Amino acid sequence: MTGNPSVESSVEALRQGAFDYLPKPFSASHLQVLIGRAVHTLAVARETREQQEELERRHAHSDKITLLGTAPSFRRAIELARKVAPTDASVFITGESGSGKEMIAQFIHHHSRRSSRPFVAINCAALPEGLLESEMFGHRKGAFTGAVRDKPGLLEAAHGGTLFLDELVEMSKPIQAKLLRVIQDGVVRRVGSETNDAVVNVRFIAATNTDPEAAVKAGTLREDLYYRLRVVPIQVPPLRDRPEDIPLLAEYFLSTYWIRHRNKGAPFPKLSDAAIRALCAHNWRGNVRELQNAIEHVAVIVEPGTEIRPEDLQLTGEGESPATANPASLISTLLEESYHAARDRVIAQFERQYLTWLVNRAGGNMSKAARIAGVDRTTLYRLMERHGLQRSPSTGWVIEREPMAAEPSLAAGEAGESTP
Amino acid sequence: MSMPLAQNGVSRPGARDEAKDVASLLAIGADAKARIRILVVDDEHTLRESCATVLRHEGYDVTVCSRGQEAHDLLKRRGFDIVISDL
Repeated sequence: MTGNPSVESSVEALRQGAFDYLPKPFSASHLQVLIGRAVHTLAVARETREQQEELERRHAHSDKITLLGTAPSFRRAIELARKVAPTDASVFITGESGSGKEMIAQFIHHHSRRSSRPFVAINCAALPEGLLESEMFGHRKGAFTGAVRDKPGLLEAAHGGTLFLDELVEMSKPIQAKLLRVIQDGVVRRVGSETNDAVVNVRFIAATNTDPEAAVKAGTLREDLYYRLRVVPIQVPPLRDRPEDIPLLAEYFLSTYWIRHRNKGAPFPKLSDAAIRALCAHNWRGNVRELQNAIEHVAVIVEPGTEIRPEDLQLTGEGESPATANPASLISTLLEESYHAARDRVIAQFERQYLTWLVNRAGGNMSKAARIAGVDRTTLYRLMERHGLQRSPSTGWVIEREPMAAEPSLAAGEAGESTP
Repeated sequence: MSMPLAQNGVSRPGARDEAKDVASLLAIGADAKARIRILVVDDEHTLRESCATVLRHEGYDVTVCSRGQEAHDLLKRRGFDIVISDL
């Protein structure tokens, strides 16, 4: 209970593990609903525990959700998810498209007290406003043309479980207001209804691939809703920021899709070192989902028992590093190559990315770029020459004179010879 | 700072109906409620007692106390399923 309700103190209370908060003054029904939801949560937790004990007795219990990755940034996200899972705190997941936001949400659900209850996902960007509203809140018979009978919405379907709101910032403001009421009071009113139709006990996980704070500033996302949902924020790193996980994920997807798509007993193909290097060097704008699709494609077409070559992967859009490219994310592990070859490859890759980042950062101004890098302008030109980079005459941004050469020439570049 | 709970029901006509409506929607069994132990902690007598009254009326097992130290001792002595406390 709080007589002085502020957003920060309330969010802090939830963060510390409070089930909910009750701003004073409150009504008897508000207290009853809140306690009712808490009691329901306790009952669901007990039921879940009993079910899990039963499962463990039958040795059938295993982690259903696989989250693969060893990169520290990714491990941090998983550790946070694991820590927050058994609480009822709302989670707000940010991350690029395809980086695994829904997987994290499912992971949280499966490790929560609610795992025996439904996990319901809604993509707020996929449905037009009217449809999203009736999908979420349900509707009364006759609420609109085609509403021939009463229908409960997804909020009611998720009762006792978890509701995943993907692309939350795409939700219209009126629906956001309606949702906020459900989060605060747990009371659902179906479209076209005059009364409260249900009291629901739902854990909310929201996600977006854009910056939610910017959406709040721009006025497209309600601030009170955002703070209510952002009790624990989790950031999923893009795949290109954790290149050390690419070989691991690629091997995993390859064996999964090979078993799914090919004849039983067909000998597994193997990713060649060159293919793994190509995978590690790719930009992966579509993140893990793009990698998954690329590997599934290979698993369907490649001959059994052969080595997968880089050209089998059909990676496109290679080479153009955005101005924001992070030069630190170059070292990929699990490659079986000699120390010198690995060092040469990584250094050459680093130099290319660093130079691209540097010159773009300086807006194409080579004097400024040299100052930032702490080297002579001539040294800078020589380095760029060596890697076949030049400034675009029109924009001043770094472009490549030719498509990125195949791996062997990267090591050659380090030997001090300029690429033709 | 806060409004006594009991006055809320009186000052807002229809609040009692709403409460009944909500209680029926929740549908938690009476025997289940009797097994739920709730501790209400607030230094304000009226608020504390009105909360307790509402919750006891619902069928919960309610204990009240006025101070944090007292709550701490109570929690050590016996388990509670839910604690309602001032921030």
